[in-house]
Amino acid sequence: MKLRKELKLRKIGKDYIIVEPGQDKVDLSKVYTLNETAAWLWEELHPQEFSKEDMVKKLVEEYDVTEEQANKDIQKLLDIFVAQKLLDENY
Amino acid sequence: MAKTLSKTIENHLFFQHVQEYIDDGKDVVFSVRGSSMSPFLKERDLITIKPLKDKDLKAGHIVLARYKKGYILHRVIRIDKEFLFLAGDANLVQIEKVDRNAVVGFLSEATRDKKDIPLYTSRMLCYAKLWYYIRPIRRVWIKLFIRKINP
Repeated sequence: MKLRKELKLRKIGKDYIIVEPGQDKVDLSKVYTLNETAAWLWEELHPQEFSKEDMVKKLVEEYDVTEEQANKDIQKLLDIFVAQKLLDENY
Repeated sequence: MAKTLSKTIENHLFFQHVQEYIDDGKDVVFSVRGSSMSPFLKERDLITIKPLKDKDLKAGHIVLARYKKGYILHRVIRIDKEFLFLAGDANLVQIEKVDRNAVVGFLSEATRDKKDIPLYTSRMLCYAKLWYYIRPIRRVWIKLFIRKINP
């Protein structure tokens, strides 16, 4: 799977937000916010193709967390990506 | 089952970000925060800021401008050759004097609960002008009102 390539991660102050810069218009009234870990993971993944296993592997490598916990957390994050339509439908 | 939470980002950080898109030639849409433009604009109204391009700015237009170390989104009260004089519709005294090139963009449209809010019709411009001119009366009114609830 892949994250939609037009989405951009921006840091404003301490917050990480995902912005969808359209051609002529940018809608900042509804943005997605990520915590630091999710933002880090986003940078690691975007814009390449990745699998759930890739995500779990990265999380386990970088953070002090068990594979089981990582699996649960990654699934939660993926559910959000799907629900918020952040994934590219073609991959 | 996603939650939408309301998030407020510090003013100048947010507008710095907005300015990047405007300087890139894009319109930006976001929610009003604060009540400095009350009663014409209210919190959570969705507003569109457009790049200036060749816009002929006039008194009555609402603009986004750099001011001191931050940004303000206020109405143009007066224009002369070099400067614009801005004021928040809700403000009773303050007038901000800004250089022409401190203006970042102008507010082109606004919606509240998905309905368009008339901003620059002759009627609304008339009301806004009147609202501004009765500032001295509004100041007295506020004083009286406050005195009433704090006898």
